[in-house]
Amino acid sequence: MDLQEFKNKVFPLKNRLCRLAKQILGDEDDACDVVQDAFVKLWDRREKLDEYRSVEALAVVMTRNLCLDRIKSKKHNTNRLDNLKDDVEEPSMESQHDLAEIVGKIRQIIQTLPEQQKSIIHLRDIEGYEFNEIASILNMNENSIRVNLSRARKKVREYLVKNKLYDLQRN
Amino acid sequence: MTFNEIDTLLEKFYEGLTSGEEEKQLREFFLSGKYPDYMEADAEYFLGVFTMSENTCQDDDFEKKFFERISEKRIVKIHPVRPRFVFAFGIAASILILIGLFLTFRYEKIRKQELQTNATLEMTYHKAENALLLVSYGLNTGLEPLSRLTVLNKGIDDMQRIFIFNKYQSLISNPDGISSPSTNNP
Repeated sequence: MDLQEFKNKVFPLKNRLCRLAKQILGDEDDACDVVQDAFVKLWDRREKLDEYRSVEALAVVMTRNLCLDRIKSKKHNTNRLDNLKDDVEEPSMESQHDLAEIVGKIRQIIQTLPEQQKSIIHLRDIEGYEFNEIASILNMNENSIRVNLSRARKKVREYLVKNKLYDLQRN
Repeated sequence: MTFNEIDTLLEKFYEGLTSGEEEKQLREFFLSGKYPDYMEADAEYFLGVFTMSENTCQDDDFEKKFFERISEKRIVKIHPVRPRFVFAFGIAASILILIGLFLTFRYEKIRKQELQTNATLEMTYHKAENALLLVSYGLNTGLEPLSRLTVLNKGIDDMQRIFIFNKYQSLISNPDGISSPSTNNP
């Protein structure tokens, strides 16, 4: 694969990979760095990229793995749901339901999910991958993916509902 | 699509059983903004994930950085000796020099010892040679008196011949007188 082909096939994945990395790492700069690393790795393998069934799936797997490596190496502060409880149940007095706040809230909740659920909900609901594609990327079967996706969606909804009720009580 | 249908779809959605098409219908429904209050949390979810799916990478220099990095990699390929290897080579070279010096000094020491040993051997050889010469001389000196015995033996032989001659001479001059040569010995 030459540079032009690489640009045409791999570069359009940039935003998608950045979103995934940001969802896993929770930081924009770290996400961009990881995607850079993934692109360089893909470039190093450019001679063999045609052998892969899907370059996109490979890129997603690479990005996810790099994110997980970074979390391990940096020992990122991966607050679990319990740690977030206070933030969700006691929002600021002047809570405003604008779009940025909603996005921030959802991102924060997803961030607290276990790695697998986090990846699945991101790949399905944000990136719109099919179940068989997610199964291929995460090396899982479709049933497990549906089960984990269900758990993740329910958790996010549960906290959104709680938050909504809290706002109603406050008002 | 009725609210009941949306409720049913939402139920499927949270069980992870909806298809891509069904999820698209739900997204369009919530993005329209026409939903009942009790679906507000669901609407937030769909609105939130839709917005997140539209997010783009904020790094404007992303491509520039990428090309810089792959250019650096090319340079590394041209000069494959990395600094850490240079460091390792330096250490290896120092060790080799030290080993070389050690072996040189050791060789010199061994050579000196060998020379000393050779000198000692040469001296020993000369001493042994002198000793053997002395023994040889002494031996020759010791054999000299024996040569006199040869002369003595020769004299005795001559004297025996004379006795035999005398005996036969007396027999010729006195044919009746019989006497053994041994009894006529002086």
